[in-house]
Amino acid sequence: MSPDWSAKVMPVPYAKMADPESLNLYAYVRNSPLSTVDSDGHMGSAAEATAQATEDWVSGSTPVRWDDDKKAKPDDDQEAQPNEESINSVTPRTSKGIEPPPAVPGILVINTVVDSSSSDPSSAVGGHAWLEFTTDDGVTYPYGTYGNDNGAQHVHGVNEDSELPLSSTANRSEHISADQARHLSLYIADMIRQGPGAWSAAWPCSGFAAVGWNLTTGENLDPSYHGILNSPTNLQGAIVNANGGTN
Amino acid sequence: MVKSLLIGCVGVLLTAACVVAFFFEYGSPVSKEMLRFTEVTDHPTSQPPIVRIDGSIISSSLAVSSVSQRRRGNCVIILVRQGIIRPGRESGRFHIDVDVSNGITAIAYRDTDNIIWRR
Repeated sequence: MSPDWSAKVMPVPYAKMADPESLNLYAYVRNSPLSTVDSDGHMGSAAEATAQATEDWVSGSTPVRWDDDKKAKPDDDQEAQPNEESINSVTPRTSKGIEPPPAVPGILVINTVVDSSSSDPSSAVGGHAWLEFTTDDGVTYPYGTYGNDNGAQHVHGVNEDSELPLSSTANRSEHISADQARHLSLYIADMIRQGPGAWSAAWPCSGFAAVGWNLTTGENLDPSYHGILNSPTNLQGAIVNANGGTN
Repeated sequence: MVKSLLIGCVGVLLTAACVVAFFFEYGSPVSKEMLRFTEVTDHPTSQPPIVRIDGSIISSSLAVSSVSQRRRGNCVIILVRQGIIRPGRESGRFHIDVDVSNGITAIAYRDTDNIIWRR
């Protein structure tokens, strides 16, 4: 088997023929997002190393930004030293860049906006989906992934604060604990670190939102898609279904 | 009989594929609900006087394929189309300058009911 861009027969990179699931381009880390992360958009690896880098950022010892990949990668020579106390004592603030949310209690909302009135083909794949976390102190952190330049930071991949002016056509919310918020923070940090690769890693925006929701709340909105919902329209259907028929 | 059916099926599939490809490449009209006008500014002293309109589509996975304008009476109607992202077409934003000389009193989106600027 060759990749479809190959001029001659060659192995498919990052795939194992004995493991068919590794050929699934639409599953994030082979559907094991709690124990595995995909730091470069190609294949999953154990989550602990990435988690350490994120915890360093949350505790303030290591700055992590999507465009500063070197600082974001963990140092293999250093022993992992989780700093739970500093993680849970982060003061909520309004972010000016693309940064993960603090690990504090709050309300997580998964949102979609779709144009259900249109019969145009593009309306089926159009629209947007995003996660919005509001701490109990009232600071809101919206996150969405973009394949175009519509985000607030105009970059492909994760953007922050872009959806503040938007109203959703369907949403589902849940109050989450500090520990759950930590899972959310780790996931968002991992996606930020991937830069433009985040768009395809959990493609598209609805996949990004559905995986984040699943990792944080434990709820799989659409088991038939293994947590990866391939359009805002499908995600809206799953949200309405989970809400018992209401948007 | 079977051959005719086969040819018919292939024809239908090809036609459907062409229609979908056309919509995604040429783009399909964006509804007003899926559009954001970020700035509508009046420039009455420019020659000719214009109204500058900036905005974006809400979709994160599509790109603006075209922005067009046409006149209907004293109103200019603008239309934004969106299509799939491909190299060279990755922006979800648009900008258009509308000439508001010659008796134009309003600018609307898609039809005259959706007024976005009035003199």
